[in-house]
Amino acid sequence: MTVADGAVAVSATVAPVAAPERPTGHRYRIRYSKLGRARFVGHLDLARILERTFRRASLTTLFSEGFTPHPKISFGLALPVGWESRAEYLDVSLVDAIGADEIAGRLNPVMPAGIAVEDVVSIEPGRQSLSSVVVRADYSVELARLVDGAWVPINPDKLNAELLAILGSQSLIAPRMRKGIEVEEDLRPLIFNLRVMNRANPAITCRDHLNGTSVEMTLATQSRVVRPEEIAALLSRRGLAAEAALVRREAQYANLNGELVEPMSQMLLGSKRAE
Amino acid sequence: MPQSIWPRLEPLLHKVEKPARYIGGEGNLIAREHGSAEQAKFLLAFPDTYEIGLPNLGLQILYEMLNERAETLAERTYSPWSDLEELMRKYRIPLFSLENHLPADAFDVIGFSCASELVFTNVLNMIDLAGLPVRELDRTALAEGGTRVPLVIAGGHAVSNPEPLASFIDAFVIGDGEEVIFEVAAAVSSHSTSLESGTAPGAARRDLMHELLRIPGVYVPSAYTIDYRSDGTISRFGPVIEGAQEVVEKRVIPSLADFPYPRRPLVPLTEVVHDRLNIEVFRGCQRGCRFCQAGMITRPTRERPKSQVREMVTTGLALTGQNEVSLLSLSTADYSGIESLAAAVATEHADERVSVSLPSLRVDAFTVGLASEIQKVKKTGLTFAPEAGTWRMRRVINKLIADDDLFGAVESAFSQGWRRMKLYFMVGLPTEREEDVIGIAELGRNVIEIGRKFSKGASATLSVGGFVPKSHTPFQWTQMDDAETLRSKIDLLKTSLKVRALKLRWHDPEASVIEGLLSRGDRRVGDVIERVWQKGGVFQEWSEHFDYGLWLTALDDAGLSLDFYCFRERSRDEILPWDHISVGIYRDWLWSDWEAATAQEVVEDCRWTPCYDCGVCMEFGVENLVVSTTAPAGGSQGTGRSLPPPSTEDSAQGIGHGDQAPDSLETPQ
Repeated sequence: MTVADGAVAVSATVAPVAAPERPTGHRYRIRYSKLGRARFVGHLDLARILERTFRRASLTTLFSEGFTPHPKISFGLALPVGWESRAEYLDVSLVDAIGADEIAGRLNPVMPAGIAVEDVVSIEPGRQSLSSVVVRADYSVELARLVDGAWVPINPDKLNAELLAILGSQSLIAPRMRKGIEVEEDLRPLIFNLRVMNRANPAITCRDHLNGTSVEMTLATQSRVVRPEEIAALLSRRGLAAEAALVRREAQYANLNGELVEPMSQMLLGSKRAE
Repeated sequence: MPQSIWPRLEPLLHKVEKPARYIGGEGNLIAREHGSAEQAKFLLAFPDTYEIGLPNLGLQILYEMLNERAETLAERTYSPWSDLEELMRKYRIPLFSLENHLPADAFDVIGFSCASELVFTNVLNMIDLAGLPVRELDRTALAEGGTRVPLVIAGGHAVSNPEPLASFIDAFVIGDGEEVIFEVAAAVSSHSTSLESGTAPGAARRDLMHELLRIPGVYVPSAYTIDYRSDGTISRFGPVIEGAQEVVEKRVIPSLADFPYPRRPLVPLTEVVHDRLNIEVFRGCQRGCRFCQAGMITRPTRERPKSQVREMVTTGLALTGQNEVSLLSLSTADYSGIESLAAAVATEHADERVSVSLPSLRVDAFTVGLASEIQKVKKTGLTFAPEAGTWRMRRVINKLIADDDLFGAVESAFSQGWRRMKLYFMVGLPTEREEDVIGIAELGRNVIEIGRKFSKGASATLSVGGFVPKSHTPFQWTQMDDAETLRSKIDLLKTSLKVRALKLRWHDPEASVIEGLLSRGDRRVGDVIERVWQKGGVFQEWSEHFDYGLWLTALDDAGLSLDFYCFRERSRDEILPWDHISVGIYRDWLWSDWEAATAQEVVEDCRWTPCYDCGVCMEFGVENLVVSTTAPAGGSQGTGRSLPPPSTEDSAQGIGHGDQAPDSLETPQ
């Protein structure tokens, strides 16, 4: 093969080509789940995995400008390593307009085990970012104690009593590390619901070796993300030893004029779902 | 199927770093139900962390091939990090596979793939974590006592001298694994069938060893004895079991075209090194650099057909979604159609924003054309390996790169827009003098000067390692520099840099010395490895964990010395601990090349110049297989381009033959 011989003279009669317009692409919001062993895959790892998954699905994303172009995928709240979720969100800009069902249909066969696309809607560009919109989230949590390398459940009645007491408190001052200094903070306004769940509830995927007591929680994500582990720590400080053996995020909510809606809701997006 | 240990492992994953290392579930994973007893079940083990081991092509090739057939099966395991290891020992969780999370004893064979010597203590650690005695003798005793014991085998470049690990491994596999692995599997299968039909484990194991030692390319250490002289050298090394080969010859697959693996590369769920689509474009190397064990032991060269490379790239990209392709080999710029191949690959996939990278490049085969092809999508890092600071030194090591070649290549790169280069060098080479060490800095400064013609920000990193003489090379008889000497040379380099844009990185000289002990050690060195392991000396290949003191103490306790293994010149008639392993090169040729080295005589690329009869092609009835009759462009040796003459100032005092090193070199004590 030979190296290019140098510029070929441009004929004077060729019209100048217009600069290509910066493509705006077609934007979609995707809700995905992350269950089972996939919960140990970290957030940054997930970003890398999704980049590859879009390629394997032959879905061409728009890319950012600059020295190392990245696919234009923006994530909502990060999901800590070890948590499962039924409701994680991302927004992505694709080059082509593609139907929501087709997007899910192309992605799911090539997604890693445990990670699945649950819902897709098309959204207008310029929508508020996911992370700024979400104000609270629902969790289902297995509270347990780790004894000799195995999880042991917590007495549901004692737990129930403590949770009711917490909800009945006017304020809950708890220590928190901010920039290396321990400060005090009132947790109570950031807690919206705590309830021991009926273990017969079929929505709960109890696994024999993860023997815990199931609790529903609704906790704030703004002004900051309150974690179920903090509720477990609170219980421990109040005399009921507990750890969050498994956390699953069940839903995320945005505040639309005082009403709580999910990030995919039509009310929030104000646009029709993609065909 | 045996029980998964996952329920016991899961609660612990919250307490460890990077739990995703242990979950499996990678893209293109092959998880199968275990078959009947007859099926030979392999646990392929890489004795380092997941991040280092996952991309290992050799392991992935065997993984796929073993899983393609009903009569064999393979799962993978990597060394757990220390935090999980502690918990595994505490809660009695054995070494486990990633596919089905099965304990090691659910497998018939545990196969270690050893890429470097400093992982040897990890090998012992993993055997121990598997619940087995680390010594082969003790495993045989267990079997004779009636317990079924998996077979422990090892392969990889680091065991081309298998003796240091020989007390711990049942059988070594030397050379290419693609064919021999199935012969081993057949023997393992007979063993399992035999056990099923009621044969006692002791007898079955003996039969298995007898069958294994007959397989070409398989070395069974327990079938040999070694006698030593009072001076420590070997007086006799010979087989004691009938059927054991006097010399074990490596296996060679004649053509890569028959093995288009991996077809479905694993895609990790977490960060790993070399995270790209890696395609092996050729195996072997015939440049004859005298320090390079990899080149010597993998001869002859077998290039993969271009069309197959392109196909593997296309399907690999579709199956992995990677955005970078790396064309792998010992010296990819030597691939005889490299420009058109790189151009084709880069062009075919440019729309997908896929970039092409070539690992360290031979400087003389690098051209403007090649540079422009691989930088099309994104400039990946550029690494060159001149290895020595002066032309004289390079003739001695037979790395035939003239200064002008390096400068030409660097200029190509800078002119195409690169700003930073990495240059690999060694210190401690045979016949080295101070000016050779300083020459490294001079080359670096010249590179910066060239770069500055194109950009003010041009910079270069000199990456310097201590030279470690390796088995099966012309330098296998030489002494190496001790840690103090290596360190003083690096200090000399530090003060010679003089330019801010030139940075220096160096490998720990003490680690180099221990690498030297392990690469040319004999079977007694096993005692040292065991002691270091017992004291917790794992992950020695990681600079944060390397502990020179542990090794020195272990040597002392074992009554052995670094002077014997590393710091002396060996004579021609000394029986070397690896003489019974053949990589196909005539020992006499290696010795004559060693003599030629000190006379600065060079040996050229035998693909383009007449054969100099190293022995490899005759041994195996295989010849260098190249895909194009066009030599790489741009000043490759042997293509009619005349090389600069030998330095006239060198009086070429012969070293070797038991003589002392030339006066200008400090003689290490």
